Amino acid sequence: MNDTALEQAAACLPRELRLAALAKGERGRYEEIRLRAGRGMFLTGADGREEQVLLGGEALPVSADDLSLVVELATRASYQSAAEKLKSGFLPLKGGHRLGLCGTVTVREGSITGFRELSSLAIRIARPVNGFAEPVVAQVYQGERPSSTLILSPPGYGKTTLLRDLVRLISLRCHLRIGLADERGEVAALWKGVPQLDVGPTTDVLDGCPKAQGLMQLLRGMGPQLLAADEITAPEDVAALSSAANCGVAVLATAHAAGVEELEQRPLYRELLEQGIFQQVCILRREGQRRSCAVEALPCKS
Amino acid sequence: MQKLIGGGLVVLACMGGALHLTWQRREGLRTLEQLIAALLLIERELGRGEPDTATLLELAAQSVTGPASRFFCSVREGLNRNAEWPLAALWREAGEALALPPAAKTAFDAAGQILGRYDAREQRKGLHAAAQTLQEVFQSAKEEEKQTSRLTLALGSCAAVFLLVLLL
Repeated sequence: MNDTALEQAAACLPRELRLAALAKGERGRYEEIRLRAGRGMFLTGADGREEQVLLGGEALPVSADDLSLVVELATRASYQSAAEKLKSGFLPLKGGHRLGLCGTVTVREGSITGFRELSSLAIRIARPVNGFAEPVVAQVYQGERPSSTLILSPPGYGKTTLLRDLVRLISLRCHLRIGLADERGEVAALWKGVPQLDVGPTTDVLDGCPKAQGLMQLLRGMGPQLLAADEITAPEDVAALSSAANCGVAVLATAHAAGVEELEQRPLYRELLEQGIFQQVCILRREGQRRSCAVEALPCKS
Repeated sequence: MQKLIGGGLVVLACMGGALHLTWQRREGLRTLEQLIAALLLIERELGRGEPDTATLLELAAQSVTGPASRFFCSVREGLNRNAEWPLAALWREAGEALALPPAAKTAFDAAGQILGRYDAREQRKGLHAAAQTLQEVFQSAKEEEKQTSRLTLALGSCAAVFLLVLLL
């Protein structure tokens, strides 16, 4: 089996480690590559279990220098350009994969500026789930224009995946101008200006910008017909969404909540509901390995 | 007449040899001076923003000439070509062609181990320290060169006169 995603994600590994990961990758579908200094390399399967990569029955040797080399290769020897992104916890790689780091950090003026020494790192392999939003896309885009929809679920249920696929499908089928405020680069994963994860041909991505500012910038500069943003967490985000809605632009966003009841209990989200920005919510549920989503209309605020 | 022409050629050859040695040493010094200037330029650029290392190498290559420029071009090309090679190795390998004195080579290689591996502030500190060490090596080499070039020219002249006497 030729696993292109694994090959792409492993491209920033030193040669010996890369070959070992790819050799093992032929026998399974992995979601993560983890390197731990002094302990070896591990591949994480879809079930979350880690399998150690062995060489002649022994753990593959991995040193702190190997970890530094991975970062150097991933940043193309430009740590300074990537440092800002690393502060958000991970470094985006070509193909939409992510490199997360762990070790002894350097702190300046109370914030993390980098790593003095690395102890472990994780490469999360991106595998877009195209078609995930199929069951709900017709309800989000009804008739002439899309309905403003808030995607809800507890963490880890696939809100970002659903948002990405909704954006992709609406762009592909309805040819709307979509503005995507991708603050942490998790939705489109821009790499040299090109989205590494498919967000459709008519989507303009603003990457790395705080959501509230990003939404306003997209609104003023790109004239979107639909605005999308991941994880509404601050009052400024709500204000920006409200401005967009007042300009007649439909919005798609996500929030951490199991349902509308939970949403109403939190002041920030209650305000969101009271302003009537969203016409409906799309709730993600999980039963075992199976995920499902359903759209529910919100009571009309006038 | 033939002896006179032969003598003249001998004098010219000896003086030429001495001048060539002096020129070579001066070129070495010029290269060293340019490398220092390029490191300081990279340090300044890192202070202005956070450009990627390939851009910094390009700027450095454009700011200098001769072997120093070829060095930065070579490292940048290596960076684009060899996805699995660390920058420090590319730097060290390209640096062989510069034929720097050992003390300068050590300081210059240290700069290659810093560039692109830390945040901009750390890199600036490291590059500044490397440039300072190179500056010290440059100053002492310049002093030495002044004395050596006088000596080389004097020895060249003496050798020329000596050969001329023997010939005539």
